Amino acid sequence: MRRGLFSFLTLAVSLFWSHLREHRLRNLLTLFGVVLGVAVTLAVRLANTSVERSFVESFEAAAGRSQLEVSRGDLGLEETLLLKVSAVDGVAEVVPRIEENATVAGSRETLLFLGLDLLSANPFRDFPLTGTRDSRDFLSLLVDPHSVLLPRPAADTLGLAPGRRFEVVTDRGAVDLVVRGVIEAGKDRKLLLPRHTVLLDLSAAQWLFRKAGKIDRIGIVLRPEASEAAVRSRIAALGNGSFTVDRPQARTRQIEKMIASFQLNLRILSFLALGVGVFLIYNALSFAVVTRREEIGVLRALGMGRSQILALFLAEGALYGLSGSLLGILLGWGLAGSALKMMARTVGALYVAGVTPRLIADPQGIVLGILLGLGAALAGTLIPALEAARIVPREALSRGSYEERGESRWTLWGAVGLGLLVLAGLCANQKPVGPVPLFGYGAAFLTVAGFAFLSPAAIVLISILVRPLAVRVCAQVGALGVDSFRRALRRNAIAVAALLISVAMLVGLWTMVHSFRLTVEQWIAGTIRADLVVYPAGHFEGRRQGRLDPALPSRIERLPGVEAVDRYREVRISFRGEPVVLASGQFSRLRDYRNLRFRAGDGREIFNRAGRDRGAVVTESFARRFGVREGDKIPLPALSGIRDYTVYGVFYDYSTDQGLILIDRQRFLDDFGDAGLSTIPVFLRPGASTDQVRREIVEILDRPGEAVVQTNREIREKVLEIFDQTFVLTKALELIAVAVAVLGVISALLASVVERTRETGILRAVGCAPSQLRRIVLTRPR
Amino acid sequence: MEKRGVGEQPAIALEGVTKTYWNGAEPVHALRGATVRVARGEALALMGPSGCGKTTLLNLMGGLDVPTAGQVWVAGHSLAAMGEKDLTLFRRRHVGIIFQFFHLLPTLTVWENVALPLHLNGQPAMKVEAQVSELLDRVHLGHRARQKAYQLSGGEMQRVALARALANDPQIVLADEPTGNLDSQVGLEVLALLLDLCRQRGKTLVLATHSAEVGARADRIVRLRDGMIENPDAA
Ligand SMILES: Nc1ncnc2c1ncn2[C@@H]1O[C@H](COP(=O)(O)OP(=O)(O)O)[C@@H](O)[C@H]1O
Ligand SMILES: [Mg+2]
Repeated sequence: MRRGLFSFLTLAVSLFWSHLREHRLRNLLTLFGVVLGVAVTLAVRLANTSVERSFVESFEAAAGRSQLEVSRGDLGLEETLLLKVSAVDGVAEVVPRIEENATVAGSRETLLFLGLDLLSANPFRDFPLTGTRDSRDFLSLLVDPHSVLLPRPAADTLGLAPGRRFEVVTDRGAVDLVVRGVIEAGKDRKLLLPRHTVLLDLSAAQWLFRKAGKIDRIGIVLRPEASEAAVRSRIAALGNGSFTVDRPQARTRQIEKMIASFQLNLRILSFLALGVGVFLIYNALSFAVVTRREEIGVLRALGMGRSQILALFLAEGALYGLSGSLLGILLGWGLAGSALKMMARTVGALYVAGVTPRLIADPQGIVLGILLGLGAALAGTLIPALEAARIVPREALSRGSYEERGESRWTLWGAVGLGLLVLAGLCANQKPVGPVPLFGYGAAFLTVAGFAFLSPAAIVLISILVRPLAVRVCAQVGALGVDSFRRALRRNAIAVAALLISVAMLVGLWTMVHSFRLTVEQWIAGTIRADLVVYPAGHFEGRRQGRLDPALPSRIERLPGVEAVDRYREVRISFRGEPVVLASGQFSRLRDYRNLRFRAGDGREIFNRAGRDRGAVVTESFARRFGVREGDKIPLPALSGIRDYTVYGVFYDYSTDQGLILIDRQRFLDDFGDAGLSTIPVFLRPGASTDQVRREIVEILDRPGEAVVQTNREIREKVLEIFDQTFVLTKALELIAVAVAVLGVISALLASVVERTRETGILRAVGCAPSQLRRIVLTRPR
Repeated sequence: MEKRGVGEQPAIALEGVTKTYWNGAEPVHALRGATVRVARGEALALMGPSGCGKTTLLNLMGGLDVPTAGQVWVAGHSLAAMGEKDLTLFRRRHVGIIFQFFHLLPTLTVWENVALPLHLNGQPAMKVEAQVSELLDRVHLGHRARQKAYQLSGGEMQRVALARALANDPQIVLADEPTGNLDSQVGLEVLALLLDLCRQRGKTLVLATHSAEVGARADRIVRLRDGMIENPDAA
């Protein structure tokens, strides 16, 4: 039996080998389908795990030995809380810290700044320090906000040694920092800090990032005998819900939640690429079955069994799958780097800046890639292979053609196709659930399937319509072309389906992107109304959480050309355990200068009423996500405990998919005690010169370069630029669509040429010129 | 599989065989009660005009098709009631088939084409090697072994097909108009080679042709017309 298998394999290999050299370009393209599918899947997966792992690692490193962490998100904790927490029964040690990010001046490289109480609560004090010559150096770390320590990996990546200076962009503008020492790994302890970490004293960080009197997180080390749950509830009681007490790991989960929808989108994209791979394989093998019909007949006549024919084709598919996956893994590894960069930028900009992820080896991913490639190839092969196994040798070998063709079922398939399209329509009209457009994807899938089923009907109808025309133009020759196209219904259905799917994909993507872009343009027109906007330094290089000088707005207000300014703040908070954005601006300004589009009611009226008591307006995405309606109360974590805000209006907004709550500036200051400013929108008097005012603002900055001023036009352009970047992926999809269409048509043409060599032989014999023949091949409706 | 006592029994026996194809709802009677016996080692010519049912008859003998009614015994096996799987095994082991249009696998080499049936039977490499070279020498194509099949002339192709049909050392050789696609000179050479090889090795040969010249070289002629045997006594 083993010898039988060996003989069969010898046979299979020699057959496969002999076919490899025909249709070389076509085979390469097919292989590329698998390669692409596996590569994209693997790259996305690698990037996903790497991003996630990087965040986890940096959080864990930052948390150190702490078993619990107190935090209030971007709002920050009051420094005074520290004493109260350390007095709680069961707490052995409190480790306050500031986590911020700053970009290296003149680059997009982001560094994680970890501000720690270096004197009394320094988790790295046991690690050897190099380069600190004497106690003066160490002292300067405590008193000079420009002094920092670098862990060895950071020093190496940045190419810095003790005593060297480097410039970073912080909320104080560009600042010169001095390296006072390098922390080395201990003898038996690894330095678990992320590669781009900068260590500095708490007070230095508070100055650099305008967080005077604030702390981002308090790590808590418990007494050995203390119960975690008990300590936790005791600390929580101090805050009345204004802050959270969690294990450090909880933060990872939070991040996972934040990037989940982003990742799902990428994953779906990668499965789409795999689907295209399946389709290409299917296409190639269907073609192979048609062209090798006679060969299969011979093999069967010589005594090859049905299951062996099946195995032969499955093996060929598997070979495509295997070689495609191996190449795909290589390509995927290459792609992962850029995918990671793209993802890190998007994720970082949207959610958590300051972490620079590295690619992490992923052996499981490689195994998965091979399995996926193999699975996709076999899935694409199965139907053609079964078809090959069904070939009856007597029929395949007879020169006359007695085969029946399944033309009768096109009405049934057409009906199924129409049904699927109706379902797709129903899906498309469904409200999305959560941040992921599941129904949207469903609709897309159903549309594709619907078109595939419709294609045989389309062929018959097109043939009926085109035949008279073809007859008029090319006489009998034209009729023959149309008829043969219609006759090979099943195979041509594949090509037409490919074409229909591609066209549907192209049209769908184009419509989606353009209609969305139109909406975004409208939204920009309504939202971005300020003539000038002041941003913290580095905002457009990835520092999305910067803070402006709180004294700046009143100084700008006094400039002659300025009519009004707003004071705008955005922070991420946790609402019902989910990350959302809490924003504040002066309602009077929003009312008078902006033109937000509300779901119901008049904007002016809404802001007037919402400004009078604890009122809020929320984005439509927020309302949808949490099932909130106008008039509902939403609890927010104010400084003194939970405060209920009333929702007065729901407006449309595309700046975040997590949902945004907008409250009045004064309420925000009173309730949340955060005087930081994210942006200052500036509205000019009629006739005032934009350039003039812009220059004046730059002049009155406390420190040069601590803020940047953008004009309305510049901001609109930037927003659209970001929008277009987000849709780069759809460009890739459009390319894939075109490739599928082209391949589908090519293989259909090739196959029908092959199938009709017999017919052509006859035609040539009866005196049909080659040019006429060419016309038959080309008259098929495309 | 049922077996009959071999020896005195004929190598092939078809009894009252009918075959009806369906052209949509319209029946096509390819064979209407044909009875044919072929003795072991005999070379029989099936003759008749185009469409009289020669190919159909050969297909039944070769296990490529089953009769609508009647009995088919070949090499001691009853084929009429056999399933697809058994028919496949039967073809693999007991018959060698030669077609009018050669039906070589064009992308394989001459050597690989002849080795095909041996591989299908799971023969060890040494045996394959020996058998293929011996047969290729016998059909005077030893020097072309490494050439692709599509590069050969018609006569050469049919000689390769001859070698392939004999590769498994089958009891029965079936040839469907083996000279039909060759010019007469070449055709007669190939025919001579075929008869030679079969007689030498004691094969039972059934050969369909509508050429009287070809038929005359066989041991016996059975004539078919409209799916019926014209000279039942000769059958
Ligand atoms: N698969 C089939 N379907 C319908 N009719 C067939 C089929 N195969 C053969 N026939 C018909 O059966 C008759 C005998 O065919 P065949 O055995 O091929 O004749 P021959 O080989 O003597 O030319 C012919 O009329 C032919 O058209
Ligand atoms: Mg015939």
